[in-house]
Amino acid sequence: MYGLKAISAANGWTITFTGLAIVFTGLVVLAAIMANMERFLALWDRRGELLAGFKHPPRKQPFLVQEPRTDRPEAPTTDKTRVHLPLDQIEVADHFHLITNRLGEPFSLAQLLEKASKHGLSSPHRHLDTFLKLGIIVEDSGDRQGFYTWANDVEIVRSSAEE
Amino acid sequence: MEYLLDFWGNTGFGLADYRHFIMIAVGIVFIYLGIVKHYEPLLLVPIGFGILMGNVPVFKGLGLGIYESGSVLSYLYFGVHQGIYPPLIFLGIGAMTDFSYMLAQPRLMLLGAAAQVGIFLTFLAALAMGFLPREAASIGIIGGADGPTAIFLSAKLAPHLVGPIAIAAYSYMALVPVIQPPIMYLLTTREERLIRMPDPRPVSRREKIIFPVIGFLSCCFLAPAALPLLGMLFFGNLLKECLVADRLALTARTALIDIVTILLGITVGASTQADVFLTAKSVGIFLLGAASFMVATASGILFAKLVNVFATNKINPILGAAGVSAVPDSARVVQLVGNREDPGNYLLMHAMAPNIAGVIGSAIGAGVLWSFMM
Amino acid sequence: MVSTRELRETEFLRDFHESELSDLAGIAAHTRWKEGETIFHAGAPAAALYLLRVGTILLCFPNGRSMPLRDEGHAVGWSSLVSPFRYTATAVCLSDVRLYEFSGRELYRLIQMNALFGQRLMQKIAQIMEQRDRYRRGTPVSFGRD
Repeated sequence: MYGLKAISAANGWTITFTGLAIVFTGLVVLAAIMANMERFLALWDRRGELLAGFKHPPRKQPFLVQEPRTDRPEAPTTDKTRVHLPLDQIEVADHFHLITNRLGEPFSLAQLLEKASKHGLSSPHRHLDTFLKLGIIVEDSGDRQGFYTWANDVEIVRSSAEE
Repeated sequence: MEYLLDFWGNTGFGLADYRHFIMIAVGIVFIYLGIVKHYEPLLLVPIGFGILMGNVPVFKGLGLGIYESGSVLSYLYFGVHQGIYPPLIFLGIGAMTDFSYMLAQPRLMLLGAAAQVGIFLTFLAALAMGFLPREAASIGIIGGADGPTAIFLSAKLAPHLVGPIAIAAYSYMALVPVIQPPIMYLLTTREERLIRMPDPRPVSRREKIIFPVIGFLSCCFLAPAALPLLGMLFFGNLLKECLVADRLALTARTALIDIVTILLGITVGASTQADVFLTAKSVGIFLLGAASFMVATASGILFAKLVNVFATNKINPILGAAGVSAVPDSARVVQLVGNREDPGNYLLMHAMAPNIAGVIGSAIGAGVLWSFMM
Repeated sequence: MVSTRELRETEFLRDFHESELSDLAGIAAHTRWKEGETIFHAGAPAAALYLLRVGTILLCFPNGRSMPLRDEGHAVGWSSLVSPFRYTATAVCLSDVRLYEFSGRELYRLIQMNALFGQRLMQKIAQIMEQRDRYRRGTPVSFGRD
């Protein structure tokens, strides 16, 4: 038997439509589960918090505890990390600062290296590597990933052996 | 003189006819392509040598041929016609596949489902050409572009066609860079090929571990006949992602898959005995196989275009071509075509998503066809 | 001459099969670069893939973004395997650097010979592309006055 008759005799149309429906359903279900998996896992991670909400429903009237008011401003945190560098590297860091002041922050490392080489600074690449390793220059985040800034929480001090 | 003539009659020269020599020539071409042209040698060399082994004419009844019970080759072939080797290959594939591209962009999984339209349309075409339903189902699966799946289904439904179907499937998979680009150009506009895809999100380790369990349960509850293939695929992937069974994952993706590839290649080759292989049906299988592959590619692309009618975030439709699986070649072809239009457009990681979904989709398709034919 | 043992210890190639490592060792070469040298320029034809052994490389993208690579085993030069086969960043050595170099053409030959190896390698390349794509695709930003 040939042609459409053969297809009908073997239930070809039914098998094709059912088969395609099953393949699509399988992958659609899997895609739907996996698309929401991140959300399920986030809920799972917050399960303690959510269950606590059920066990101890929040009071209708807000229950505020008035903290005694102090007019003193909060003390600024001053726990900066101290990084010890030899004098020549401190000079390079100062030079880099001059360049980045002109470039603006966050800055491009490629531009920094280009300017440093133009200014005749010796071994700018090696120094940049050191500053990155020590966390003196750090990468920005979000839209500015790939650009760099000077770390705020690092204080450069001269190595004691040289003082 | 009589003894000499008797002896001559029992040698391969005496028993051979022109068909044996044609098949031996095919075997030598496969070995040549594998060794000299470096064309998939891990598959073509064992299959090519298997063709030689299967086409040395032997005296029937001595227990030498692959189809004679008790012969060594028949014991090795047991793994093919009982469908043992393909799931073991899937175990290895699972242990080496990173599903994170697919998990990062679940909507691209649908392109892997759409490409399976090729399987079912070819099934209809084969029925219309006069193939029996079980044979038609085995031929249709060539469009899944997945060698182990094609062998698995044809071994279950039409064991006498395993040879031509396996060889057609592997030949077309190797021809992906030739078959797919013209279809991509034909069905898409330049503007569509220029579409850039958004960055995929990072996928956590927990998601990667949960996926094989959820994937296995959701797919196999729906199509239980896909259990041998998908069970092993997802199990292999769990071994890889859980990190605590790394030794098992390493064995699955190296030693085990290599051993099974040797056995599968040599026995599939040996099963192409001239009298079984050189038939009008084989020609039909090769023609339908090519059509199946093209329809699968076109279906993936057209489905992506359909999604774009409704979606706000457009999909680059050439990604649909990667839904035919054929990992990683079709993904590379997508990257190549996309890149020709826009040198800054990198589609490879996005193409891996439908590519891997295609592996799952074709296994489900095989399971569905098997269950309908039982 | 690069040994299989050396390559096996590289993070990037850790899960590759012994025979694949031996093929890779056959096409690998040791290369040394001095601080400040440029390994390749963005836009240049990509001929080789490199694996970092020792040192720090700075990848500078044409949009001004950059990414230092310090850990052993980092791969640079993925463009040698992905069309249009042109480097997307400039790789500059921030220190003396030692690398393994693999010819892109030879690697492609190995991929054609072994689909499973190709799959593993291309997955790794896709991971790197995804990670670096955020740097490559980010728009140029002008913050400064210079």
